[in-house]
Amino acid sequence: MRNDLQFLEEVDNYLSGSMNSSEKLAFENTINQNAELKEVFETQRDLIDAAKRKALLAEIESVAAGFHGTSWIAANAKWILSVLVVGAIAVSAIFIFSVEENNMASNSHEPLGDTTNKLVSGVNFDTNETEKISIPEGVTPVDNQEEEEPDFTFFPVSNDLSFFPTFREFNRLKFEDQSHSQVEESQVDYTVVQSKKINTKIYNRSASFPDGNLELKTFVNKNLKYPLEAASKNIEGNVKVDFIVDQEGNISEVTAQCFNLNKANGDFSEPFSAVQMFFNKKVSRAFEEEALRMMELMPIWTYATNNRGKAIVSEVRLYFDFNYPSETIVYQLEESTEKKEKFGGFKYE
Amino acid sequence: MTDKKIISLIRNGNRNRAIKELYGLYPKVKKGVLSNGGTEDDAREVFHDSLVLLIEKIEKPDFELTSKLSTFLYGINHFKWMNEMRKQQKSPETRWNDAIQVKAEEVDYDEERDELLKSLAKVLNTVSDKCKKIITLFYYQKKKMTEIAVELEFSSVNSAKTQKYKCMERAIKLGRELVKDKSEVSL
Repeated sequence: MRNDLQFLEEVDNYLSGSMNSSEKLAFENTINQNAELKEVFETQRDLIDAAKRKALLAEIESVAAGFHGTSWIAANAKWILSVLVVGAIAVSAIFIFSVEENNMASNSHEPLGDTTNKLVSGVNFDTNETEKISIPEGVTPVDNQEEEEPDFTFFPVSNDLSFFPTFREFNRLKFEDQSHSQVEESQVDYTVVQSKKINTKIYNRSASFPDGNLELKTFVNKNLKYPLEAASKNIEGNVKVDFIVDQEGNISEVTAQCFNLNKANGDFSEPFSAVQMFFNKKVSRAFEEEALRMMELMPIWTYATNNRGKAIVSEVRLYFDFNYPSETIVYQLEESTEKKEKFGGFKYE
Repeated sequence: MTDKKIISLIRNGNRNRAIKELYGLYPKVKKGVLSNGGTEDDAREVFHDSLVLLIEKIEKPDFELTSKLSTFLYGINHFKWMNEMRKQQKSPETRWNDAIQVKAEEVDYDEERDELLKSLAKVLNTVSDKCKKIITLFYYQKKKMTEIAVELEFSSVNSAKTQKYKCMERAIKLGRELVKDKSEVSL
């Protein structure tokens, strides 16, 4: 009896690894000499393993019980999350739209000519283009009230609905401008440089900086020196640069125009008035010169191609936003802004 | 959570969190079992058994990470379920999504021993509740006999030790009989 108890403890010590090597050897010897002891040892070892396994399984099951208790949420977490995200996007989209439409509605207090100018310059209506064209001229849809209703509940501007020109009416005004421009442009001879309108439709690839727009930004910020005149007066400026990229990627016929100046004052800076612009001609010229210098430093560009993959001449417009003291931003607008400027009058020109 | 972190959790005795983490792999296993003629209960059983095997393997001091834990777990689940199907004499369809086919040696799966331990667990069910508590505390939670004596209100450490010895003696006796029966049947 006493002997058996001792053996049991020895087995425990052996299995838990608390024996030193000589004790281990001695124990293994005694087991190997006695077949019955060996059997007892094996049974005890297996029993201990079984007990451990049982306890582990119990623990797993207790954890699992918690999982299966809340399994509906756990299993559908992905779906719930995605639904929430989609919902949030939808809500924010509705919100943004309502704000934009409201801006338009509030603009309509001013005389009509003025509002169209503001609209054209301030709001990006490129996305509405297809919608605009689909509406026949001269027709003013009547079912606008329903569309506009959410805006008024959001931002009650006025209760008198008939006072406002509707959103569609604005579109129609713009549409007239567009049709006008189409007629005019079709009379232009495109033999030398094709217009951008055709570029976007026919070409598969537009001209770009060799390694993409991000690289363009790093390239410019590496080489750009903020004009001293502007820095001393604490003025920021926006410059647009037009140039032509030929079939080999060479840049030619570069023109730069500084179309806006403002005080470097974070995001809340007001653009300069025409008078202020006039008195700061030197600064705007410095910006233009700096932009032109950048263009001289440019490497050979990736030329544009048509839908047959053939290299073609294309016109590119880059915008330089000189920010002081943060870094300068360079970007290319996806679509031409030419038309807006021609007929709407660009805000800063 | 990385595999290494799960392993360290298990080794430091924080099995609970590790199990929670590993349970994230359950849906895939469930899908696999359900699409191969099993029920949800089957899936849970197979998954739990596989978790046991995985955790046991990690707790061994000579464990080395040779593949991702998830691969190992999917593999062992697949293997176990195929075995189960064979036992039920159904031809297993091999439509087990995303599981890498593994061999028994690779996952170190010893079916005979698995069976033996299952029947020994039944033996352990026959001992008294106090015995079960002592065995679990001592072997699974690795508590010292002095702590167990306090926790289970034995008069002294020695009486606790004697009690444990009696429990084990009885279990060993039953276990040996069971093993003998089995060997006779197989002969």
